[in-house]
Amino acid sequence: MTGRQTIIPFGPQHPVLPEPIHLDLVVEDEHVVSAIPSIGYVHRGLESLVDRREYQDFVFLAERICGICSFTHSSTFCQGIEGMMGVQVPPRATYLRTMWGEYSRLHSHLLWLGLFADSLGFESLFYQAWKIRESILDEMEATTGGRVIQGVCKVGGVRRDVANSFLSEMDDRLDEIEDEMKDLTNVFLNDYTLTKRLIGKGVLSKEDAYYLGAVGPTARGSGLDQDTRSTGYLAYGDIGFKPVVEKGGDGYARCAVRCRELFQSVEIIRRVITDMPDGEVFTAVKGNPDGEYFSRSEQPRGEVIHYLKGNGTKNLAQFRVRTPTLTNIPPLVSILAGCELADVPQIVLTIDPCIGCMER
Amino acid sequence: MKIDTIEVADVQSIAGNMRNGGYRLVVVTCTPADEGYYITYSFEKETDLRHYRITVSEGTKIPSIGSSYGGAFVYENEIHDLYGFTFEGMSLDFGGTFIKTSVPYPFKKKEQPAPTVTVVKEAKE
Repeated sequence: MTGRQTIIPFGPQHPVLPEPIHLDLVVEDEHVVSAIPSIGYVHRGLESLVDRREYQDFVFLAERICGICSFTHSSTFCQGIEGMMGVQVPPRATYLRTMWGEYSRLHSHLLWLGLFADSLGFESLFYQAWKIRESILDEMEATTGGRVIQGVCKVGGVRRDVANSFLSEMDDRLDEIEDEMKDLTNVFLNDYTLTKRLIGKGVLSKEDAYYLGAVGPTARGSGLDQDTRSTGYLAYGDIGFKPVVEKGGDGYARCAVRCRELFQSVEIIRRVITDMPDGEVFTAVKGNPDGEYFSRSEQPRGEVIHYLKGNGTKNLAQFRVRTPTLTNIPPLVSILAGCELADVPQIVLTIDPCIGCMER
Repeated sequence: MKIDTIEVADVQSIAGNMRNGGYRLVVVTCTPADEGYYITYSFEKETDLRHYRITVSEGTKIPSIGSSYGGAFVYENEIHDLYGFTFEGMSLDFGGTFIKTSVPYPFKKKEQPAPTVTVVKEAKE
């Protein structure tokens, strides 16, 4: 080591980043000494719109916080309003929300696998991952009418029902999707070049993951048994849930968590389809929200929180979103310190950053 | 949703107790309230979620919990940049540049809501 330090700006525009985050990398020779993050390039101040949009309409805005986990944002917002107003959502609606939430996880994880393959120059693998994702988006479109922004969640339930006969057909198609995913994940977990770029890279210890606030696959890849679905919201309490955990703490472990979660999501969707209760999918909601509620869900990237405060009018008094990427920034800063400069893009990708979501 | 009210001076000791008790920091939330602002600290251990709240007026200096939870800097810098509160002793202090806003402290309480359309004046030649 020469003892001479240089600052290299990484982002906000970088070939490996679809969205803008800026990191000042303090580098000594080829090693990163520390990384200083900077955010705010696409901050929309969306939270402050609650005093200008009625709470039922705000579901559509909440859904647009993120283009990938859009459904989970809308269901988390609705869950918060329903919790505050004491609305009992019909069981069929909670099962449908669970199903769409898991389809969202599938398409998000497949999107990440594709982007990661692309970042290493594996174009064919990138297309293969996104081809499977296309099947997931087709199912979303067939059941909700939307591919990325579904607009299907509303306070009190969901806007659309899915016929039981169609659910059975979806169940059949899951077999084909599962087979394709087995081939795909086999490459990610066993290919020499890919594993070489992941094993031992960006190691996050279990203790650091916990106390620096890591969530989602970033936390579970470090051996933390931490998943909001364990709290039993929506239909997860009926189905029974056990988080996918890997102990390596490195990029490979985080990748392996996402690969295994693909198959877990397929299993959950199968259970939801099998156990789907009959009945209404919507309860009429009267009045306005008053009080506070702390709504939590497990997005593909980890725990999301919608803090809602009502004042008895049609407009909420306060809306605050804490997304998984925001809380995964301190762990990212921690794991970048000490890594090789050439590994920075891949390490940043392993936390699956969603900057639009973080900036809201 | 049960929230325990605490004093500003107790923030660091509560955070220290939570850390020693094995709780993780979930989020720090700032909320405008009639009597100023609420800042709520949320911790969790094995689905046991606890909230502690301080009530502060504009200009109050708040002790940082960065010594107990290194990751708190994202919430503290964000609250500083959006609401204007100063946290003393942050583990990483961005000095107001963490979130770059076109107007300072945009979420601070105002007499009138911020305009939805920004009028751009022509530059003088």
